Amino acid sequence: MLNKDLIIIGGGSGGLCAAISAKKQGINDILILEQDQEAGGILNQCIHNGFGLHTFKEELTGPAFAQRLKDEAKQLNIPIWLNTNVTKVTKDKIVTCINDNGLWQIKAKAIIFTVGCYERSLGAIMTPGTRPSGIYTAGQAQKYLNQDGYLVGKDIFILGSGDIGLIMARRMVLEGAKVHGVAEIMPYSNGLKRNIVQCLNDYDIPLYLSHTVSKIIGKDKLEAIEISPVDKNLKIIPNSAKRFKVDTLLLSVGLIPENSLIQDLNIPLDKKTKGPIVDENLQFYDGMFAAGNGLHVHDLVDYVANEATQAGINAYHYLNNNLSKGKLHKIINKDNIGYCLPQQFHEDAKPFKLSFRVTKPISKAKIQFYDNDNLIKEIIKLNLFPAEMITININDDILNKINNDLSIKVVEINA
Amino acid sequence: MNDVIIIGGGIIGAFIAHELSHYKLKITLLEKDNDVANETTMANSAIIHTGYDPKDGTLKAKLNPIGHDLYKQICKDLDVPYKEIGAYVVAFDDNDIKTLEELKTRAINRNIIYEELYPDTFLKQEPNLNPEIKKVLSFPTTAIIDPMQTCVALIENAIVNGLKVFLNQEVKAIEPIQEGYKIKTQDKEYQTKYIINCAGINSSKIAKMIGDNSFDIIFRKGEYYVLDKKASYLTKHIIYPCPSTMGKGVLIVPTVHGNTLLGPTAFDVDDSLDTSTTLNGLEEVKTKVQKLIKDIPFNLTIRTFAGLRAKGSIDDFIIYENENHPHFINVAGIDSPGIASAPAIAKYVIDNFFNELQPKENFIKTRKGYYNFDSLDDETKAQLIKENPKFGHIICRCEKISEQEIIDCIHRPLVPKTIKAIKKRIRPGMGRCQGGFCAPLVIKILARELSINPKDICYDSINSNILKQESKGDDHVE
Repeated sequence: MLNKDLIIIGGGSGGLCAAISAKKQGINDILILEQDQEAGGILNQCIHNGFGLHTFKEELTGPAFAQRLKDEAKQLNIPIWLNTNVTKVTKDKIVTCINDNGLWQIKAKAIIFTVGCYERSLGAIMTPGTRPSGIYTAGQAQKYLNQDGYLVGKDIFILGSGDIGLIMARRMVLEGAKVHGVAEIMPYSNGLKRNIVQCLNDYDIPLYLSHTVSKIIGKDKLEAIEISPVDKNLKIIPNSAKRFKVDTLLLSVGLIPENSLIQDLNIPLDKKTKGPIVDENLQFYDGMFAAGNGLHVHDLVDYVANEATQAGINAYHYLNNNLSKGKLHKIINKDNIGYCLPQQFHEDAKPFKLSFRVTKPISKAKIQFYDNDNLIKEIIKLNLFPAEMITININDDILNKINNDLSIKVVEINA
Repeated sequence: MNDVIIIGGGIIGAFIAHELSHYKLKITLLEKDNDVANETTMANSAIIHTGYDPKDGTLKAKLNPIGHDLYKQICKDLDVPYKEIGAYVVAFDDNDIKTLEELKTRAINRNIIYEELYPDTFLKQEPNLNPEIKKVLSFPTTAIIDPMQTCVALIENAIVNGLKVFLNQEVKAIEPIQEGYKIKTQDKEYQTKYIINCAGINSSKIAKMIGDNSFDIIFRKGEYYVLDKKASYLTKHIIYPCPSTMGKGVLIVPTVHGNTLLGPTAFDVDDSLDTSTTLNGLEEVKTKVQKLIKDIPFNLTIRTFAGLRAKGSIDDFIIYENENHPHFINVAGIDSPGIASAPAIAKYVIDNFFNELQPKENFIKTRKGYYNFDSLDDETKAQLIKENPKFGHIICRCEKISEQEIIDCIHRPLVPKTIKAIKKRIRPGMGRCQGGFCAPLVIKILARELSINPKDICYDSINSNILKQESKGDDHVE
C-alpha cells in the first residue's frame, strides 16, 4: 500500500486549486487522481471566454484558465495520475483506484473530494414521448463540438436555461445551426443574466419562460418536439402545445454533484445540494473535505477556485491538528432560502464565508440571522436571483451571539 | 437454399435459432432492425415467472413452468445473469385473498413452490411494503434475467454453431416455391424450406403475406420508470398486485443489475411504432406502485420508457403450422409469460413441427460471458489490468465499464455496431448520467475497432447518426 499525506480526488479546477494551496501551505506529499486523459475538468471543453475575472483579473477561455492552474501545479511539482478512476474510499481513508498501470490502494492522512458534477438527463425529467437519437445534454454536445470537432445537428431546440444551454445556443448558431428556441419551466431563467443577453438576445433566440417540452416525436431520429406552457404548479397546460421541427434537443436542466463515492461510505448527503454536509472547514468526515461542484453547483469557476483553495488550507490545518473542533451548531434554512453552505459550524469557529441561494427572484430583501428565535443581525441586499450565489461573511458579531442553531431568513421588502 | 429461416431476432427467435443450431441444419435469422433484441425484448419486466398465473388448459400454462425450469442451466451455459429473487403477490382485501387462493390452487396443481405469508413475516423480509397489505403469496423460485443479454448470448452461441444472422432485413413478401418459400426483403431474396415467424408485434403482418388472416396482434403498450441503483433498498423481491384481466398489473421489479423497474401500464395502441411514454401512463404507474410501497424515491428516476407487447387476438400463445402452407410455422402472440416460456416454446416448436433432426456431434454448448469488471474482486481486477491495461481505463463512470470490456463486446460473433447495441450488451449509458460522459468515448472506440468513420456510428437504426458533420473541415476525432 502507498501512503500520501493528501489525496485529491478529481483534477478539475477545484482539485488543481486545492492542491496548489495545500502545497503552498506546506503539504509536500500530495497526489491528484484524475479520471480524464488530462487535468482541467470541464473547463477543457468550455472554449468561450469569461473565466477568471476574479481569480486572474482578466477574461480567459476555459482551457486557458485550466492551463494556468496546470502550469502552476507542475511548477510546484504536484503529481497527477491521469486516466485514473477511484473505485472506493474507506472511512479510514484508504483510496482504491485503477489505471492502466494497475489497481492501487493508497492510505491518505487527508482527502479532498473535488469530484465535480454531471448533467441531469432526459430520464430524470420524465418527458413524454419516444426515445430517438438526437437528444443530448448540452455538455455532451459541447464536447462533440469543441473537443471532437463535430456538430450534432442543424435545427436545435434547447430545454432549460442553465448556463451551459445558453452558451451552447450561441455556439451552435456560430457553427451554422439554427436554434429555434429555449424553453424554461420556471418563470425566470436559471442562467446568469450576462449569458441571457450575450447568448440569446444578441442572436434573437426566443426564450419561452414557464414552458417545457411536452412531447418528443420521432422513431429513430428526433423529428420534432412540442413545448407547452405550465401552470403555477409546473404542470403542463393541456391543448396548448407548439410544435418545432428540429433534429436535436439539447438539455440544460440542471447539474448534480457526483457523490457516489461518499454515498458508498454511508455518509448522508444534503437533500438540496446533493453534496456532502460540511462544516465551516468544508470537512464532512474526519479528514475528508469537499469543494467545487461536487459539494454544490457553483455559478462561476472563480467561486470554485476560492472554495477549493480554502479546502487546501483547511487540509493543511487538519494535518497539523489545528482545525476548529467541539460542539456543532446547525445552520437552518428558513424563508426563501434554497440551500446554504456550510450546513454546520463549530462553537469555536473562526470567521467564515456563508453561501446561499434564494428560491425565487427578490428585488429587495432583508437577510436575517437568528439564534433560535432571537434576531441577532440583519443585512439589506438588492437583486437576489436563484441563479446567483450570495456570499456573506460570518464574523464574530454573529458567532459570539450563537448559543444554539443559526437560522437564516430572507424577508422580501415590498417596494 | 436454407433449411430454416427465422423471421425476427427477439428472444423467441433467439431461443428457436439456438435450439435449432443443435442440429445439422442450414439456419438463417432475419432481423429488420439494426440490432437484435430491439423491440419487446428490450422493453419488458425481465421476469421468469414460475407459471402459476396462466389459466388451466392453455399453452401458456403448459409451457411457462417448463420454460422456467430450463432457464437456470441455459443462463449458466451462456454465462448470463439469472437471479432467483422470488416474488410476492400481495392482497389488500377479501377479494384479493380469493384471487390468491386461485393462484395457490394452480401452483399446487403445477408443482410450483409457494408460501403463504402474513404481515409478521413478510414485513420482516420487506419492511417497505404497504402495511395495509393483509397477505402475501410468495413464489421463491421466481427469477429475473437480462433479456437483452440473454437474447444476444443465445444468438452469439447459435452463430458459433452455424447460424447466419442478417440485420436490417425487413421481410416485404413471401412466396411459396417448389421446395419451400422465397422471402423478399427490401433489397435481397432468400430461399428456405421452413419459415418460423417470430416477428413479435409484426407477426400477423408476416402471416398475412401468405394469406393467413387467422390471428391479429394487439399492440399493448407498457410504460416503465427505471430507478437508480441507489433505490435498490426498496425491495429484494418482485412485488405484484393481484392479477387482473389486463395482465399482471403494475409491478416493482429489481433488475439483475441492481436498478428497480416500476411498471408496466397496459394500454392498447393502434400503431406498431408507438413506443412513446405519456403523461397519463407515467402518472398511472406512479399512483399504482405507491399502493405497494408508499415511499418511492421518484427523484432517483434515471429513465422512463415504453414497450409494446404482442398480445394475440386469441387468448393464448399462437403456435401452429399453417394448414395450407406446410413448414410455415407461426410463433405469435407471445405476451406474458413469453420470456419465461421462451426456452419451452423453442423445444415445443422443434418437437411438434420438425422430424428426424440429426444432432451435431461438435455442438459448442458454452459461451464466455462479458467480464463485468466492476463486480470482480480487487485481486482479479489487478490481474486483468496486468494482462491488459485497457481494463484499467474506465469509460463509463456510472457503471464502471472499462475500455477492454467494450472492445471484448465488439469483437464477438454478432458484432454490435451502434451506441445502443453496446449499451444493451454491457450497459455504458445505463447509469445516472445516461451516457452524457461515455457516449463520445464509445463512439471513438467503435470507430477505431470497426475501422469506420465516427460520423458513420449510429445511435440505433442505420439513419440515426450522432455526429452530423465536421465543424472544421478535417476529421478531429482520433
